[in-house]
Amino acid sequence: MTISAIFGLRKQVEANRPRLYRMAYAWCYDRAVADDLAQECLARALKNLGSLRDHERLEPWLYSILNNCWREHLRRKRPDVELDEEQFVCDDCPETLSYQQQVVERVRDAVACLPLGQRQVVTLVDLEGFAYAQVASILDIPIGTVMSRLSRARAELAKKLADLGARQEEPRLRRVK
Amino acid sequence: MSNEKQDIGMDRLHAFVDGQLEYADRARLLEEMERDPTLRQQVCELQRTKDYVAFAFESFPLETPSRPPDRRWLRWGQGVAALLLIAVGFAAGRWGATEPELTAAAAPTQQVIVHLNSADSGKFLAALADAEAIARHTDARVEVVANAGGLDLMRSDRSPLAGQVRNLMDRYPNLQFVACNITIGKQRRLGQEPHLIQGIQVAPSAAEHILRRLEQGWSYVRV
Repeated sequence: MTISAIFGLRKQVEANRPRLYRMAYAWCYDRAVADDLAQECLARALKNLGSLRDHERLEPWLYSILNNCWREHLRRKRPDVELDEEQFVCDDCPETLSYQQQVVERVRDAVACLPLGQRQVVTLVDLEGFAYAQVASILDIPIGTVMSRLSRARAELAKKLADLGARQEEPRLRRVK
Repeated sequence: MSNEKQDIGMDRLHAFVDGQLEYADRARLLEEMERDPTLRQQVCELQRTKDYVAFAFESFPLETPSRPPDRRWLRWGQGVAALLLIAVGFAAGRWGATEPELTAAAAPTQQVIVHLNSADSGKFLAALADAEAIARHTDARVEVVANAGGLDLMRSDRSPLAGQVRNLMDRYPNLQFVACNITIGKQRRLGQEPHLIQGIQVAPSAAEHILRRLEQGWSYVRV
């Protein structure tokens, strides 16, 4: 690899940091942890640039590194929990928030309650638009597992968010004469 | 319908909203949806859930609390302007505010200076990552040159990454570390006695060393 190729790739890797940070947040729901995970992911990616054979696969490769960082973080925190099926506690959303903010909070809370394996699949597909095969490669799981987790995640989310649709049909603005 | 058939049916709908169906399958499903209001309803529900998730995180600020390492990349081809910038940077105790883009076109030489002048552990990591990436993947000669706060990276009594520095020196004969003697002198005058990691070279002045390297055609990266 030439110096210019290394620096070209480094630049691309660093440009992905904000999206890695957002994805890390969608998995861990903690800004400081998300920042650490994104930083650790970048550091590892930059160190191992030479192992990336196909430069077209940069993004899936980065997210697979992020996934490894995240799993290591969880193992350090709670070594005995089966990660993919861990349930997370969600908080109530404040009544005072605007409707739109309430939707955001409700959806984030619902996503936060999903088992981790489902949460990762649904965020990789819905936030970053990865194909199922890419998600399978990022998380190192069979594609059938990607589809079953996605299906279960969306069924659970639909159940938890069913009332949002009903509220959304109400008029949001009233004309004041 | 058995559960398995239901699952396969649902998988197809998920694949549809996620743009994962082949053209022919997609066309067939669209025809079925025209005839079947229940199917339409199911697809709408899935799309709605998908949209909720995207919406909930779309508004999440992408700005991160900490910044990726900034670095500069200049080469001697930029001539007097580069020298001037370096001279002004040293005179001011820091580098200028504008940062030339790091471009692939700016890296044709096979000798690189990685310059570090701040006691920021994030920058220490970035400097070592830069130096290692070049040393590992190319035949280029690499010098990490440190002055001011950057000297801490090379002090055995202060460096948080002393082990890594030693390890890199052992592993890559084309990678060297150079400390600025002016900074060492300043630290002595402040009552500190900087102990450098064994194997670190000392240049009389980091500024002069860098200028000489630029004259010799080396490329320059600032972390």
